[in-house]
Amino acid sequence: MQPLSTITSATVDVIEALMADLNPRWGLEIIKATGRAPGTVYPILDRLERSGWVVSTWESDSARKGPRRRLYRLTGDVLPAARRVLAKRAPAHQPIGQPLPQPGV
Amino acid sequence: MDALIRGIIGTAAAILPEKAQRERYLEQWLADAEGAAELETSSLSVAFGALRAAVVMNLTRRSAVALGLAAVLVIGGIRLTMITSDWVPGAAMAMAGVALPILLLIIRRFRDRDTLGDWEDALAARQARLSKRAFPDADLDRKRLFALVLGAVLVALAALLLLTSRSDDHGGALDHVSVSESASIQGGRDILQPAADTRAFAARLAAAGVRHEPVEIPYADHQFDLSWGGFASQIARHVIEEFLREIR
Repeated sequence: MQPLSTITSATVDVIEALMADLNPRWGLEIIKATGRAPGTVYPILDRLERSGWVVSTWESDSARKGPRRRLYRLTGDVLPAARRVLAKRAPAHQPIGQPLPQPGV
Repeated sequence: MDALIRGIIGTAAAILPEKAQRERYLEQWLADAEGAAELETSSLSVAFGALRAAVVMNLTRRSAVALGLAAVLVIGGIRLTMITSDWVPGAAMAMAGVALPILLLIIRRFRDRDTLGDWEDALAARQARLSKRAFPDADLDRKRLFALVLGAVLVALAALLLLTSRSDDHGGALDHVSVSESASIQGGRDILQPAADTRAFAARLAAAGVRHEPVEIPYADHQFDLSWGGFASQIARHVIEEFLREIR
């Protein structure tokens, strides 16, 4: 696994979607889960794969008709790093717990 | 599946730099487009997403230099067409700017890289191949040759346009402006617009077959007509009046 040089908010969204379900998931499902455009998520998945954060395999489910799909999952050894990435962003999502001081106080 | 969607995805996969990558993403993106309806997603957005992804996947840190140069060429070319009467050099420059990234994309497409990554990876892979004394196959050579020939054709086209423009300079503005009759009034002592230049201009007009009436006021300086009632102004007014009456 290589450390990611830049981690954009879209990258964090993709990692979050992958962390939500550690089983192999269809790429388009991940795109849907992030709520971002396919043109944004595909290059991120590619970069994560090249960096060793994600592995992808062809679907082996023969029960479903149609072309085989590409499935992605996070590799086991990146889970601590992925949690750190999500934890870094977490404060931005949390509402301010303490009341703001009154003007003049 | 719509032929348009298939075409967009096919194009997107085709511009990816590595053969294995091209095959994989073609199959993957086609399957995604096929199943997009299951997730209430438009297959067209998947196709355009694939195209955008393919362009992004071709971008590397080194691409910034080429793209910057391309932008300078395009903007500079458009600017040149706006500020000069001859649009051809500007158009050629802008065309070269548009052609540059496409050319780089084509060259990159046929590089047959062994690794996914940056140019440094490609260089390292090439060096590794050379050290193993491995020779590229004939098919690859043919593809590289095709890319080079295509690039050379584009460069030759741009050069041809520029050359055509240079050859036009012999005629100068006369080749681009339809002039049938003209007159010039020149101050013989003009310190800003030398009389010799105007005489040369008159000679070129004559050579081009344009009827021209040159009038030189021997001791008049630049902007002699600011003195409206002066002798030089009176001469100029008379010459202009006669000229306009003749060509009317």
